[in-house]
Amino acid sequence: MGEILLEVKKMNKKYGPIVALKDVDLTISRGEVHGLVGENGSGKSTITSIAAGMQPRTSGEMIFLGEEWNPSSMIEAQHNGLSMILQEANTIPGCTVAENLFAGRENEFAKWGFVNSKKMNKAADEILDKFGITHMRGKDPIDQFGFEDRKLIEIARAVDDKTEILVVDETTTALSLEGRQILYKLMDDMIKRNKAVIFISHDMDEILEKCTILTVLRDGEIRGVLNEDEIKSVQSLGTIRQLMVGRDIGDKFFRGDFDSGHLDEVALEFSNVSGPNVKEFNLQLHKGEIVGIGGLSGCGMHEVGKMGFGMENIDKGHVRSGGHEISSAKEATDNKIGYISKNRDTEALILQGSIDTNITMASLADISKAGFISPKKKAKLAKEQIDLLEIKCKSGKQWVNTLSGGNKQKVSFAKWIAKGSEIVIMDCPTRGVDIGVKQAMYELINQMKCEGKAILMISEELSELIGMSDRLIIMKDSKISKEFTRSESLSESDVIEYMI
Amino acid sequence: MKKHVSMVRFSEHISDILSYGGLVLCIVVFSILSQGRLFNAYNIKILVQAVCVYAIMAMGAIFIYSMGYMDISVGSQVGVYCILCIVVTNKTGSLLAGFLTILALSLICGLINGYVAVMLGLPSIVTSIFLMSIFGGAQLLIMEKLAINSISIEYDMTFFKSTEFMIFVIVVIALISIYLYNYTQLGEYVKSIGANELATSYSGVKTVKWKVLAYVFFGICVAVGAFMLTARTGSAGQGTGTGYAMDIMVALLLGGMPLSGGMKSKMSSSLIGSFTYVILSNGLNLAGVKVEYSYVIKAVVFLAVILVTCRKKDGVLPR
Amino acid sequence: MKLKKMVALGLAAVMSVSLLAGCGSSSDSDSASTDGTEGTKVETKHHKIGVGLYTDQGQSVEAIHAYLDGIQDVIDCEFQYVTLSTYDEATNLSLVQDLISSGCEGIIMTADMGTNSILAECESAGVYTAGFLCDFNQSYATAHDEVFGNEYFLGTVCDGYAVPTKYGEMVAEKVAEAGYKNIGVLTFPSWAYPNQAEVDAAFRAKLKELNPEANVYDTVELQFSPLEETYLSEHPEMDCLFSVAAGASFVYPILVGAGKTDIALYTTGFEATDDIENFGTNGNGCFKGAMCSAAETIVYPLCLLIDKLNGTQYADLPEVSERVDCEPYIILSNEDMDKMQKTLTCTLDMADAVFSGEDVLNMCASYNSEATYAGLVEAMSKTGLN
Repeated sequence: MGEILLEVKKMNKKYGPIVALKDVDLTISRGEVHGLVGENGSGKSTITSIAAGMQPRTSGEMIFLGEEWNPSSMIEAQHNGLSMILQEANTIPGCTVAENLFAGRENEFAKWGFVNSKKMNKAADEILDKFGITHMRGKDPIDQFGFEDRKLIEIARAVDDKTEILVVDETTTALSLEGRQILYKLMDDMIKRNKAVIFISHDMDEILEKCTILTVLRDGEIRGVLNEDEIKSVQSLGTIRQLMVGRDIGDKFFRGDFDSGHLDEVALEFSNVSGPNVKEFNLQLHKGEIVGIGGLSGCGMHEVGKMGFGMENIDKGHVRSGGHEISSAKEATDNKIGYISKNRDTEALILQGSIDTNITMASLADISKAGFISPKKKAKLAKEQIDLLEIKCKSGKQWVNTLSGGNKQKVSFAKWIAKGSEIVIMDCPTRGVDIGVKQAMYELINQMKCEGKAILMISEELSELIGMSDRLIIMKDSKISKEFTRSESLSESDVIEYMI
Repeated sequence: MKKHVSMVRFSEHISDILSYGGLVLCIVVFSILSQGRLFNAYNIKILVQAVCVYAIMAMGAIFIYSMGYMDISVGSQVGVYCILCIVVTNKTGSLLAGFLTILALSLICGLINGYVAVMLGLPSIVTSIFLMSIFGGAQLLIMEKLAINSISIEYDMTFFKSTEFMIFVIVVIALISIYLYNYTQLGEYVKSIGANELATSYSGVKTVKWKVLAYVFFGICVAVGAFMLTARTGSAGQGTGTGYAMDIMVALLLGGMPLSGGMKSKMSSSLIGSFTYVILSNGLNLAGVKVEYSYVIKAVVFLAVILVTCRKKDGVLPR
Repeated sequence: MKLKKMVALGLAAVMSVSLLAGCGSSSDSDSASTDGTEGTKVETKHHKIGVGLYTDQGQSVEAIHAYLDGIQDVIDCEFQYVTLSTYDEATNLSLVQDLISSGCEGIIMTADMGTNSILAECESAGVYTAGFLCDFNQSYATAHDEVFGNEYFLGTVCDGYAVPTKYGEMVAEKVAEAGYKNIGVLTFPSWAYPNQAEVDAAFRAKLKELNPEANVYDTVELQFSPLEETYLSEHPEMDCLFSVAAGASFVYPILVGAGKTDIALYTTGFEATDDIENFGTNGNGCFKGAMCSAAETIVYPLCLLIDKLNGTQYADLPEVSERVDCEPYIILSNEDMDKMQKTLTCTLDMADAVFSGEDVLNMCASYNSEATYAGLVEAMSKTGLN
């Protein structure tokens, strides 16, 4: 055990009558990667956001580097050695990479009130090189990069030589494999320099691999602490899940069967489809079949999903469903195709809108009678889905932005189930979703298959692709590189070699 | 962050309460200061007359503002419609012909406002500036051609300027608007376009079509509003209509309409806002408030409403 | 954040209420006027009169306020003001309705916009109107019978002369006398002030006759906004500028900004600020001419309204309402300006008024059986500088 860096004693946090944290004690020492796990709403992010100065605590004490710790803002926390990388996107659009990296610190490069951008770009390049990020340069405008690259910039911004504790809050969800490697390298580097990392993630694999100590939370209370040996033991996953959920959810996480059968009827057909980042893509998706598509983030699989929904231009080839050409989202929905976007908050959900609105958004034309939409019918349709998917909310009137990630994702599923979609294209369906909800999602997807629905599952998580798909297509450089059929023996390492 | 629910709900209601509260406060304060004159029969009548045009146009405008757009061409559109309505009616002797002319014109404007903006990928404010200039120019040209300052209608408008008819029109437009806004796809989609256009189109909604329809309905309301304005004053000139775009925006804001549109938009904002706007100036006049002070008071009331209804989203990292 | 908002709201509420309360009480105290005090023998009747002014600022508005404040106790009238619109008929109708609703029995208007509908409203409410500082040219030309023939419209007194060419000719004489060679002319848009075009034409005709050499540029219309500076650079050799449009506020600052105060500026309107300091041989001497009407001319519509409300009328009152001239203040020399500075319009002092409250009572048939309409019209010719 190294020297204690941060000590949290008897911390409580209340939002009105709701208790978010209850007498939490936590100790972070030098040289450890301290994992925090728990379902959404269990209090993981609440602890770290208080420690990073984003919100005040209700009661309790914090000691950081031997002194009373009461940061009033993220900036103050960062200046004193506690940095946090957030879940949400947090870069400034319209600026260069360097301007984003040094946001708030331009003065270091300023002379007579003018910022020396050359000097700043050079310094930015040095930092990027240090992180092993070579495809971005300081002078590049930030807008030309995708969500993932922007996330990397945030990471680079958060960490400097002064950083003693780095909080990584569900950051990996936004990153592909390459991005994760960069983050992992950074975490390793922190440990090498005898600093500490607080690591929050829903991905159990990386938690188990990276953490040296693990604290499990449920309902704002600490339910267990696992040391390194316990983490590395064989039963650790089961133990952790049990601590998180409060009950034994068993081994049956993905589909139990290994039957890759499906109906004969083709539901959605891609024939020789080419377009942006996709070359000569062929696929026949059948009713009652789950086809998984995997690959690295730039391999073109996300574009395939959008093409299937008519939201991406096709240069050559055809996407057809039931004899109809699909070239717009309207045609897609008319042919009972649904699409669950990877970018949930921007493309799938109206965050500033009620659960009812979101669930019924695609079905309004169906429930309107001579132009009239009965509010009762609408509420009923939404209520059915809320009950069916067990969306945790007070009522359908509640706004979606007040829901947890898992429940948000359930709402975007519900939209297409309510619509009665026969073909569902899902891009990263369990992204940012905690384990309990994840299991429910897999059950749901399996059930949809059993009902004869056709499912195209695009994912960055190999385990779920292998665990759920009847057929697994791997893409590399805009093309299909390999197709696997469902089998018990298929392992991640078999698949990875076709991805890279 | 996840358990802000109760606070978020509470602050949601503040804007509701305030939009009603502003109206209630105006009524209470001014009925005292005017020694009850606010409620005498004559004053109620003139309130309705003054509200009529604002309310009709504001109800149409709600559809546009819900999408987070605005239309600043209303004023010059109104001017041209009023003049044309009078010219055509005087020429043909048929008021119906006059009304149909401006109705047709307003539909075309709706199409331009909706389609051109989408097709050329322009922000809607650009097309509305374009229309404003065109109509402003047209207004000047027509009046120059007529070679007079102001033109009067020769048709007997007694029936159309009666308060009863005005109430009738307000009620009809209100019923249609409420129906369209709360019980049809149009209403749902304009709100969701304002809240998240991308997610709306990812739900299989042809946003262009609904945008155009929203502008078309607004156009109809503007035409009806212009007709009522013509009926009320019986004349129009080069300056007629000036300021209406701003008046409607202010009225909507007073009614608690968020400028960014979205799901918080409510149809009631148009009626509450129009009444608040009219009662504010009527009440100040009834109370005998000096002109200098009335500006200050209007500004203060306006600011107070805006402060609460158009709050910024809470940022994560203060920079 | 919440707290701050609440505090701001609270402050806003307190502010509005206190402002309202302050205003409310001040108008209350007016009604406690003492009419029967020593001096006045006549029994007066209390009336409330609405005044719709075309603007809410400037020296002339202040002068009107000062004058009406000065005579209201004596003539036993209470005044309420609104600011009329110069472009929107419906706004004006609503404002007049507000005045009627707040209990005004008579209304004095300074703008001719939406007059037909306003008169219809006044007729149905039994409220009388009259004009002031306004020639009602639009109505006079296109709806003479409906407006001037209307029982509820009692007549109007113009801002100077109904046929306003006299001032244009007087300026032309001065310009010719001074020998200016290159002269610019500015007006407001003719659709709003058609008379200004006549002034312009009269000026050009007279100048041509007196000094055929003088070069007068094409007229530029100011769209109720300040003169563009490019106008000055386009005419670098200009030495005189006749701004029929309000020159003190829309033209003079531009001249100052461009360093061209050596241009002689003739204008209409009077602001009692720069135009006094820099008139003739004073200051930079930029201002050479100005014209405005006395606030006291409001006596014309006022007497007509008071009589009507008291149910009396002049024996010689014409059948159809009239528009009459008043003698405006025409300031073309230092002596004129000295006289001007002793008028109520400049000093805002009731002691300098042309007509006292008692004079007004004497001009009303209902308070003085010997008063005549001819007398009232004649009084309007005494409001000039001489």
